[in-house]
Amino acid sequence: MKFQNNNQPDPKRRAALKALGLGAAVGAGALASSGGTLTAEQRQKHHGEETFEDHWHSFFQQHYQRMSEEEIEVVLERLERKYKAIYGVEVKVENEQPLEGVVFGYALNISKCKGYRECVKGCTTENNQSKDPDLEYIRVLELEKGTMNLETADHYYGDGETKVPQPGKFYLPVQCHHCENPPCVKACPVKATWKEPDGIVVVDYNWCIGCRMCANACPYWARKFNWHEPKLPVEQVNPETHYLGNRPRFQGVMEKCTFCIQRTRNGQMPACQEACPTGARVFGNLLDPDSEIRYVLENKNVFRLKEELNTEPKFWYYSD
Amino acid sequence: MRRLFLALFALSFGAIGVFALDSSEIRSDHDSKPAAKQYDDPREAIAKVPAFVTDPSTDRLIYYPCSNCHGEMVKSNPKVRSLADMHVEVKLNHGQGRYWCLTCHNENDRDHLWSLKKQPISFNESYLLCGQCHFARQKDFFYGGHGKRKANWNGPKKLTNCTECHNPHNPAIRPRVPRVKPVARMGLEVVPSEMHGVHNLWEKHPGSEPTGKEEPKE
Amino acid sequence: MNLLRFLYDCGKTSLSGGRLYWTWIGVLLFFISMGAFTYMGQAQDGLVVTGMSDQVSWGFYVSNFTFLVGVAAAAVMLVIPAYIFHNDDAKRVVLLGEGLAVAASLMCMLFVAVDLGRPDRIWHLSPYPGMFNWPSSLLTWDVVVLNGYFVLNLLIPGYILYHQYHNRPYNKKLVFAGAVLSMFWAISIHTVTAFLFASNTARPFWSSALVAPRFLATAFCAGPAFIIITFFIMDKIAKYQIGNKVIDMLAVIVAVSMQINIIMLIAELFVEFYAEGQHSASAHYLFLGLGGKSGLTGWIWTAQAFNLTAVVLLMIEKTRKNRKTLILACALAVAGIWIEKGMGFVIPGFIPTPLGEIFEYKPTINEVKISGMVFGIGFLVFTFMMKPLRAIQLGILSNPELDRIEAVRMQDEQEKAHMEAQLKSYEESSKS
Repeated sequence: MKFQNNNQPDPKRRAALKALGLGAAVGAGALASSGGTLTAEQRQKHHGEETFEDHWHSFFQQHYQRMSEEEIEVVLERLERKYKAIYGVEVKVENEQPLEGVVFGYALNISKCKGYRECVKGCTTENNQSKDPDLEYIRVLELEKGTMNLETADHYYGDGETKVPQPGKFYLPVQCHHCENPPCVKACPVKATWKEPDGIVVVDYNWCIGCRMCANACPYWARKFNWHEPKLPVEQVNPETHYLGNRPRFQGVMEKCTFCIQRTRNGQMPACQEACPTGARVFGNLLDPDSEIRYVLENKNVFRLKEELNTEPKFWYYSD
Repeated sequence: MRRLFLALFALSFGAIGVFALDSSEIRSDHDSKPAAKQYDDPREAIAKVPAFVTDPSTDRLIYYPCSNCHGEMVKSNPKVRSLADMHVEVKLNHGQGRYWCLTCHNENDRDHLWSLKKQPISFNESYLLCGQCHFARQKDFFYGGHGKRKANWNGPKKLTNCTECHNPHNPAIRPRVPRVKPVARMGLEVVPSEMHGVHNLWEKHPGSEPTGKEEPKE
Repeated sequence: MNLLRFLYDCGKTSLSGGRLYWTWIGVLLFFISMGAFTYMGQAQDGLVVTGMSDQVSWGFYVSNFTFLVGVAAAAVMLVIPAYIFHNDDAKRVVLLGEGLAVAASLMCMLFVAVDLGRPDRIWHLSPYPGMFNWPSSLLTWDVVVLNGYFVLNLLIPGYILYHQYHNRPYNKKLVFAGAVLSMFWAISIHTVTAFLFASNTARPFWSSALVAPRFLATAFCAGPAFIIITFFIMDKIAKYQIGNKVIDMLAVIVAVSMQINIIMLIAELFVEFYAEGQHSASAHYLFLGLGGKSGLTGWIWTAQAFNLTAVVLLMIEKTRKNRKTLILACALAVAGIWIEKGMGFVIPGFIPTPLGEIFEYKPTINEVKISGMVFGIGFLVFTFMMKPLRAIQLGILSNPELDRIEAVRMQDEQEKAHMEAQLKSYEESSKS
């Protein structure tokens, strides 16, 4: 140590060494850090140009249930501009209100389901999920006949050659059951997910903070998270969307089956029901005594998954 | 004395007659439901089911209208046989030999099918025919437990016709390859899991496995 | 004004030290910087850079969060003897415990923040303009109690130190009230975190009444053990003497808590494995592996071995009083609880998934680096708090204004004495 005079260490030198040492520590830390592990092509960033005003409004956007009709219109218009900028497609974001006197219900005939997974792919064609790998709302389980023990289920059946249905097996597609007593709604700390009057449990993608508490609470493994920016090729964009439904989502938010809210609130069938070639899926209005779903529930042997949890799911399974 | 004997004889026969009448009453149903009315138009059987429409099936039939040949040119042969000249591509795999072509196809009017009572049924309303045997399925079909409702869940109801899914000559649905299996999210891999434990009691007892004697579906 | 002076002086004390001190700060800054830049990558690319998945949606971050909530709650183990029972030895060190609580609860909140998918939307948690789903969502309870605990443990010691700095007595009643409040609050932060997990009936491994008591038991194990280690470091490096009685008291607390933890473990093992139903699948995965996958079995059995060794060492008086074995026991206890309550609790809740899938989880290097940043920040805050705390308690640091007043008073007294002496000599000379 160099001494200036009187055997006292030079304070200026000391201070300089200290600063240098600490700076080196910080710099070494920066060098030792690892950035994102995705390649440039794996990342699909929003390459649409957004004005500062849009950024500002987007950041400070209020909760859906607090906004008035006019405020929501403004939000929809901004989102349509944003999607146009990103995808170059005229994406329409609607906000159809729930129909009066309607609560949706779904029944699935496990005698008819053959495990084709057409519903899974029909859903991903309709709902603008991230692709490749496909983010899927429906998971089809292959179970051996004679058991309902889901631990023995095979999620990954089908090697491209083996045909379904396999002898001795039956198939159980599982998606969001839109419970009447949803544990995910209870768990969300910011009320980003709630149950609409027509029974659909929805997510406000502009409000979700991505804490994944709802995913822990769901007994049916129905809620999916966007771990990265969703990759949606332009040619696979479905431009008919709903604010609470299939509009393209963002990184860091939850999503799930919405009973195709953009279709069902317009009287159409959900995409999974339309895609199923065996007619195993029955969808309709539980409050209409003449509906098919009511007939099934009143006349067939129906059961629900994990009924002991009292979640009151609106998705039944039945057999012929 | 003879008159008494004759009287007794007549009485006993009369009694037998009364008993005979009575026994015919024993054979008859005691419940008060009236017997189903016979009708001419098969559509009357479904008069009370919820209203629906189906897409026409005749658009998808290659040879329709059948009367092009079966009007004047080809004479009808009602003998039960396997066809050798025409329609040989049709493999009748329905009913395991209990019936043949003219059980369903209208011998007098090949542009129509017919019921067991020989009433004409349109190809576009084939459910009226199928439902004669498959009546439980038919009830489900009308009310929503079978088949598929198309396009919308409210408003006018459009159903699939039976023949949209089932080939009437070979109705069983064949196994096919499913769509691609799910994958893990980007950056992770699915590691195949080993199923644990035996599922069925008989797997632990050698000699009691399923024999596979059940008819395999072709 | 005085407050600003106090804070400025505390800051100056924190930023003064020898070579060893600055090397320590440098090491911490290295980890913080490394983690900060890695976090920027995570913020840009999303949580895909972690090992979490839809199957295992909480991982290393929440595991550390769970462990640290326990450490934070352990400050109450010093608060009770110090302020409620007026144990003088405990009073000397209670502020250190509360400083640890501040650092630990800060780390908890940071771990939650780095785990969020949309940290830019954290304002959504405020009651207005955000939407606060209290009392329905357990996470909102956690936000309230953690922030409250953080503030409480900043204010109470800060209040005491502030008065010591000014050489003034503090209001004992106020401190007592605050201590009682922080006592209940400490229990609540850990119970709320336990309920956060136990509220999920979809996860049978967590949905047990034993989770909350077990959390408290392990908290009062790991926390005091960590405090003991801190005491020894401060004793050796900072020459801050701490009485053996306090250390022994804490060591006994660790021993008893660990015994309770082991009893609870045995209870859980019995319930899970005596009649193994489908709900025991997660426990089976943790302890024995499931479906050919056993990523956590090595860890959990190591943790149990650590815990058992620690409790034996602490139960035997000779090894408890011996400094070296005590440090070993405390380190084993901390490590064992970190494994058992962190990854050993959070991860098995997800395996198998509610649909029966067995999908394993391994933290990525990014997660470890970012966790290193959070730990670094916690240690840094703790170090920066300990320096002025020690200085004020040792009397080294006090209000310079006081020194001036003291100097003036001394000078006055000197002058007065001088004048009196002069008067006296005057009188004597006039007498003679």
